[in-house]
Amino acid sequence: MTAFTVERNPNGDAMRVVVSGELDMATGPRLEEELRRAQAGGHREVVLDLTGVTFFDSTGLQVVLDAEVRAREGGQELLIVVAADGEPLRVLRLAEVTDRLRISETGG
Amino acid sequence: MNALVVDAGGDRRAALEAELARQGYAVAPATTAVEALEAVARAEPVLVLVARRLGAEDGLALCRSLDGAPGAENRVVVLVGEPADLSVLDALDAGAADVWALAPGEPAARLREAIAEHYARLQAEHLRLGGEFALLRQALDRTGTGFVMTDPRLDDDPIVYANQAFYEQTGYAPADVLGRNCRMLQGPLTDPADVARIRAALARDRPVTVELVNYRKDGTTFANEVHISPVHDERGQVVRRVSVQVDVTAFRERERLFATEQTARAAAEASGRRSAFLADASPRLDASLDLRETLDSLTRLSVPYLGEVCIVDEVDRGEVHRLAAAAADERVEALVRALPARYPTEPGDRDPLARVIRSGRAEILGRDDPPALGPAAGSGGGGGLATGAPQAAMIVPLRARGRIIGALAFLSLAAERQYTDEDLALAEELARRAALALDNARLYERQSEIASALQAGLVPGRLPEVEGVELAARFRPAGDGSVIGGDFYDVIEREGGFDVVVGDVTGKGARAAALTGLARHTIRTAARYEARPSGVLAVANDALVAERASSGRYCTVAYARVQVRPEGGLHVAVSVGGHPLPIALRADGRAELIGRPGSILGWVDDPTLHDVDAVLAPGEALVLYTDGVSEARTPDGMLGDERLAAVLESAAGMPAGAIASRLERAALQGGNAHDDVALVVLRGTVAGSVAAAA
Repeated sequence: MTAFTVERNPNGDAMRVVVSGELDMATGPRLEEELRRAQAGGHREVVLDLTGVTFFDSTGLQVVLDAEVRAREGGQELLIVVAADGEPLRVLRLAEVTDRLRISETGG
Repeated sequence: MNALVVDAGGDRRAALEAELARQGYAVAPATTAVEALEAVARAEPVLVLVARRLGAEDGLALCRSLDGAPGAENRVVVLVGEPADLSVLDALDAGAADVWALAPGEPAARLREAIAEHYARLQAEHLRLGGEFALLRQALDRTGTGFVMTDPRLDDDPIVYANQAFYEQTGYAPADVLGRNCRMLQGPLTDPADVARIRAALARDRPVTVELVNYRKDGTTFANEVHISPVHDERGQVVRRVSVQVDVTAFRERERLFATEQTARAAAEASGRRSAFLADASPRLDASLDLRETLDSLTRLSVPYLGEVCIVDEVDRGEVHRLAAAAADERVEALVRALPARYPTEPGDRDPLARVIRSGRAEILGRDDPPALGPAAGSGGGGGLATGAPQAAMIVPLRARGRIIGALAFLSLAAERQYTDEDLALAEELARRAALALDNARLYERQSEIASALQAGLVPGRLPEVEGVELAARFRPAGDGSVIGGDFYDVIEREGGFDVVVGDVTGKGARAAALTGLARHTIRTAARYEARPSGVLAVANDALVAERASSGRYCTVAYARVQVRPEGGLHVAVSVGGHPLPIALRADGRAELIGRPGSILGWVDDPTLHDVDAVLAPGEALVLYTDGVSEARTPDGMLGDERLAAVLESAAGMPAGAIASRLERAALQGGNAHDDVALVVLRGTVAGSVAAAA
């Protein structure tokens, strides 16, 4: 099992939140917490980098959708970065939400 | 209603009697234990205040006698005394329901506050136990503090009860306020930011305290300190909001006169920082009902703002139990974590932690009185911390529902830091919130036993029997089954067929379960009148979007409307919202996806949803499942779509029950389910098999 990590890296007026490992019921609350902090920081944009995520299910989906709702209500940009062949993108596609999120695909 | 004040004499007894009388009690006095027991037998008081010290006699002993005397279940006994004299644990042990710490000569306002807190606690307890309101209302009607209850399940969260004190405070009559929203008290001078804070907290089902400018009926304003708490039923649904309102106008006026502009500004800045810290802390303490997570959040968010090390301990039968610890520095954290998690308290009051827990009073420890961190401070300087012995500490009791459940300790390793009373006030505020969160988590842990019973309510008791169709369903909650919520399935009988729904609400816990119930029942209702499956899902989407502010959860659904064809086989119309597509198991052994992906429900107002029609020949099956099946972790990695299809193909031609069992086995081969597993299989019977089975 890959260790789960979340990092916050400020970059100008953007805050980058980099996640790696398995994002599930056990680790979801930690990401939720970090995202709330990142979004409360007054940055113009929050970038959620999920390229290192190896497991992603409805918990991760909820965290992402909640973050989008907060961004929408707070007038903030949210960009989701995913690997073109990764689990997060597969689940986001399955939930049919990709057309309403700002998503950037890497690799492939 | 009678009340009894048992106190040897002095100003305090007079103040207590006066305040209770003001609240409408008929007050009887007693000065000795013998008098008290006689008065109890004679007047049958509903409230008995007992002073900790009764001259030469012991108030605790009297509490014990009262606990054993007839009619104990009909009265509330409260121990009153100077803070230093009171041990909450001892008081509860002696049968007292509560403790009011009142130093001699304390202002009447403090007395009222203690009484208001007491009623708020009683009320919450009462609602939690599903008790009868009538008695409680009688009691509330006589208190001097304004109480309002609203019902958030009704349109616009109207006031359903207000007590006499509220009417006196505001000048309104019952007919003016009942059925209306509390915002009727607001006016032009009410700060929208205050209102927004209340709204934000209510949207998240969190308690909130706000002081705001409110208006009386005659148009005059008053400073109203409002504390609003949601009251949950056993399913986690908010069924009432209880609002305690204290008119603090006079207090604020005094404050304003005393403060110079400069000190006011400095205080505002500091309190702004503190508020920001607390505002940041509260949602995270409330985010989880898991005890371990709650404690980890608490300690992590406290360092280094309140100290380099933060520790949560409880004391149980003479032993200190370390519940959580965090440090700003990783090496220090490793050292702290390496200390024993349990050790006996030192006798007497030498161990500051035990002392704080016993007395219920927060303490600041300075350099002269170095705080111990672990067993026997004498065995290793600085309580066993090899590097950076603590220079200062704050220890604050964790108090929930009148009980001290542990202590929160902040340690500073920096020589220049000494804690001030303001730091202590902040620590106490954090402790107050943390204790509540902790208490909730504890309560939730106890409730995990009923979780499986609740979960059983999320799936139908038995599947309907429909001629020409085999139906099979499997449901397995994640892990040990102690977490509720998540997956659900349902089969809804209709004229000439039935609907099958399999869904997954994101998240876990009582709130997810409540939303799952909402989704299931909305779908059941909509199924009756909506002509197409996509219409049913659109109705469910509306209901979930309306709930989103309070729940923040979403739902994925696969929905199939099934009709038995007169010529044999089944017709299905499938609509899918953010969910794995159902799979048809064809007569030639192929697995084929049925349906077209649509939006997850509960996120946007205008979901994209499609209907797809398909025909299943006799013997062909349709499988609806949740991602707990396709994403099950097996010894060979995730089950995945391809292996799932392979498992199904190997089961082609089998009865529905056999297909379901095979799929369930494949999903559970890795041990306990990582996520809920729910699946429904339906299959048109082959001609003649009904007769054969009969």
